[in-house]
Amino acid sequence: MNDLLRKQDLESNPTPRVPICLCLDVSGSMGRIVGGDVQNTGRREFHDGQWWNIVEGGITALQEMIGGVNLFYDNLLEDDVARYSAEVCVVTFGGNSPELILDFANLDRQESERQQKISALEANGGTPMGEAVNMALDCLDTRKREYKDAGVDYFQPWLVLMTDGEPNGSNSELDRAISRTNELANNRRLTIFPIGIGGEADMDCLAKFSPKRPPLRLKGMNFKKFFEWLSASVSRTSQSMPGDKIKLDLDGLKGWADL
Amino acid sequence: MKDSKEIQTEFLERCVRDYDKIFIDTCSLLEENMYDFFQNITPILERERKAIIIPLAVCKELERFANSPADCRKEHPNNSNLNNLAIHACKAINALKRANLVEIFADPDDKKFADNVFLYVFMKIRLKYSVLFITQDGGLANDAMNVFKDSSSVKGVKKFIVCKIGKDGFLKKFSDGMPKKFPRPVKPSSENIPPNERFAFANEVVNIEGNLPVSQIPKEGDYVTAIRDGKTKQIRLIEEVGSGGEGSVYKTDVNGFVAKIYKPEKITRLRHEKLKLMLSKDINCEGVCFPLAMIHNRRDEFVGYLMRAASGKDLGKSVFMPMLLKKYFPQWNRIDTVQLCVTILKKIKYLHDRNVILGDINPYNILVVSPTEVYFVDTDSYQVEGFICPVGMPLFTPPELQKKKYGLRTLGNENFAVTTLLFMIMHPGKPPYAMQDGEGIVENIIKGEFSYPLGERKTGKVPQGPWRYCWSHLTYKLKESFYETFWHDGIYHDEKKRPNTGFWLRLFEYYLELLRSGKFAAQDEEALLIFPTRFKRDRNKTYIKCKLCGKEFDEESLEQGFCRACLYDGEKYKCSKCGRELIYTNYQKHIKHSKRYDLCRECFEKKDTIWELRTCKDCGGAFTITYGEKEFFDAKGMNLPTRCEACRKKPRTPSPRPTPRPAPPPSTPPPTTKSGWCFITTAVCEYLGKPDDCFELTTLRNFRDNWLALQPDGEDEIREYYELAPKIVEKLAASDEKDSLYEKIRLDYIEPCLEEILHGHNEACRERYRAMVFMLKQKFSID
Repeated sequence: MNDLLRKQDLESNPTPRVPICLCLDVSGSMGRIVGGDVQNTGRREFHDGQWWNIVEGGITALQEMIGGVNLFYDNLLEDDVARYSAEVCVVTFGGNSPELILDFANLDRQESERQQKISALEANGGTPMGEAVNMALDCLDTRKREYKDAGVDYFQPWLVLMTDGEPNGSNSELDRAISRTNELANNRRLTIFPIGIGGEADMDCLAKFSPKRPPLRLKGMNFKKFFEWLSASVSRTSQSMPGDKIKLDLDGLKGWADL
Repeated sequence: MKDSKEIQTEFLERCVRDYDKIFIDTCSLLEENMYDFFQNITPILERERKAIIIPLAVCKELERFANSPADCRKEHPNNSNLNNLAIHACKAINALKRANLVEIFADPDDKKFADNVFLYVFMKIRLKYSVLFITQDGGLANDAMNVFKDSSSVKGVKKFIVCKIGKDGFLKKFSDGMPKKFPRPVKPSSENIPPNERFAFANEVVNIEGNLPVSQIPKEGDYVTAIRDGKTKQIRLIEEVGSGGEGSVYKTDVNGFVAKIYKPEKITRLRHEKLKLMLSKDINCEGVCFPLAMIHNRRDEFVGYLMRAASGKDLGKSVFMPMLLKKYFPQWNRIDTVQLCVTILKKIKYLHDRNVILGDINPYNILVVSPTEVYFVDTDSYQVEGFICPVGMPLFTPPELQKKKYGLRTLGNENFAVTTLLFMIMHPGKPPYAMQDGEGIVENIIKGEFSYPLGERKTGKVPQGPWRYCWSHLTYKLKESFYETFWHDGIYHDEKKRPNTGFWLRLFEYYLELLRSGKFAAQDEEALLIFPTRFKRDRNKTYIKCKLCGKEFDEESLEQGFCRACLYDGEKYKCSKCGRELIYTNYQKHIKHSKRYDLCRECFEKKDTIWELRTCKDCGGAFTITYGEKEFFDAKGMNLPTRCEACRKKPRTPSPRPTPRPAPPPSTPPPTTKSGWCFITTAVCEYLGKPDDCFELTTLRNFRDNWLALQPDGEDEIREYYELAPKIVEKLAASDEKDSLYEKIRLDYIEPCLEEILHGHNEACRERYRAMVFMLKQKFSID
């Protein structure tokens, strides 16, 4: 995006920002069929650490997640305050390396790019989770720096980490990511939501990222419920003022988490 | 015919004769012509056997100014003569006191502020004595006149006149409608309010534990009983219009009234007692949705209260978000935001005068229909007597209460919240303590780090964006009052010194008058904008229109007739290689007349990265072929060179060894990598953090040694630059405009030079480099 517009968006909006980074697993296993009608092709392939039956038709876990992310955006855009307060960046991990799909910008400005890019996400490759979390934290740091330079108030950022497997990127990157999120969360400079998808998500590893809040496992493929809950939490936060204590709607967790 | 002096003397005589008591204020005693005045009045006082009354607080203030030039400078930096005037005033008072023409009046209650002493004394004596009051302060004059007005509760006040000392040393009468001089903080006039409307002060928090039994919470369609002062009325809840953490609000069958019904766990004895107290006073202010009656369910249990219905958008979701402000109130201009401040202030003042503290002032409990129609909701949380308001937003919490549990709030605490609210209306949505590089709002509030400037006092940390312009267009008095309240060393910063609603009301009403009368708009057409696009117009400056956008700007801020915003902007196009969006700025186009770059930076730099390192067939030296060069030769269908550039330029010699170049004259220092011709480039590259062997430097050195040095006069030119360059670089490094100059040199000279070298336009490059040196020579006046 043009730097001038980016700067103008940042400066002319006085609303305190809620920066949110969605760090999403798009490894091969997210291409797993989780619903819909399928026809077995009889082929088998090895991906992301295991053998898969290749089928046609059906709905993949990734498609469910894409639906959830788009719903998240739509809900935020419908809310008068959250629309100008929330800023979202999306980092995915699949293939061999993480990818910055959408960088921070105000939601209106991001809209056309979002519509293209989120729906075009594809599942393939490994699970370089540590690398992705590091990239996400870097994006959050950069955005915070931009807020400070412009004199824009902000809430401490949120990081949503969703995976259906276990990390298989570099171990040192993973350790670095874990120590960074721990330090930030312990100093109240980050709220992290580690979410496991399905039975094979490595909940022990997710727990290492979050010193204060245990990871939660998504109930079935309830991405919609989760993202609805998330957008409602963002809306509530955006109506408070920086410095206010943010209370999360813990009752609402029941709608989407296996407790 | 009487002359002017006779008329003035007669007026003075009448004043002294006709009024029982004569009071004089500090500022009149500090007037330049105070001596003349005392000369004029002394014979009259002697004849009438009267004395001027001076409160002790005034004497103390004068003594302080007389003894401490430091205090004078600190509190009144604009009045350089204050110390002197105070010394004279003290001498005069002592002399008159010896002659029994001055009485010092020590107030038993020992009020600290002179202004308050006057109002307090006038309040006490207004039914007994007529008063002549001499002051230069229009704000105080107005307040005093209000004390001496008959009201519904007080009849039979005596005559009162306020005068100021004129230039001729005689008295001039203040009249009601005169322009108000700058006001000072005064205590709210709660003494004026009848007791049935006024709550008492409390020193202790009321603590009552426990819930009240409730067997049924009324719902839509249910009948409930409204109770006030023993009278009851059956009303029906029609439909729920809203709900929150405490309960729900229902429309009732009484038009214009709604009922708040609490959730069962919120029906506490404390709440019940608080509402009883609230209902014991007659609070009736339009737009303040104060409890009007208790609501009981059909079993006669307390479940809620009745109030007037509110409407409108809350400030947080309208005025405080510029996009929504535009959406909901598209017609508004600054008159409307100032009017909104006045409307809100009047309501808060009404409450403060009755000792009601709002406590949790925030943008979500003030609803706006129009600048003059505003509703205050959630009034059951207000602090009355010992019933506190247990919540608050950190943003509106004064430094002394930050990070603490809310207890009894003082008016001083609350005035901070009021000031914050006003600031955020005038800078729609921007909190006063947001600043560049700030540590966060709470820390900034605690430290009093306020970033907006007042005259020469500035931090340079004002948030970027339109906020500085919003600030600039305020009246000086408003800026001063915000500054002194928010800045940690400001004279209004301490809890007890913060301006109250009465003070702000006067400032905003005056501002409204200036805007409405067209006076401000006549001086500056941007005065009426909520978001001005530039600073307030200064009468000492010339303004001209930008050649592109046509908006007026201070002449000095324009560059060759173009405004900054237009210069940064420009034609958008795509990089011919990668398609990334680029801007051909108006600065490049109209000021520098430079060419439009075809490539974006990355693609351009890619051209300069080395594709292959080769050995020259002729001289045996190493040379490089960059991606750019490769592309250039490929495009022309040529083979890639096998000889270095220098050898290519030379006529082919049969010998494989190179002909030695003529040695430079002995006076010429040997060209070292950092010296001479490339000195300026070296400085630029160092500034940009590029290594000494970066592409730019290597290319230019190569150009210097292998082409320029071989040209006629080339050696001389290199030598000339060798002498000049260090001087230029020294000036450059010390220059205030360093950043912009380095950028300019890079964009306008070095990069185009490189491009010219790459394309073999050596002569053009030489010209451009000469132009750069010439420009810098001129800039820094180097011969």
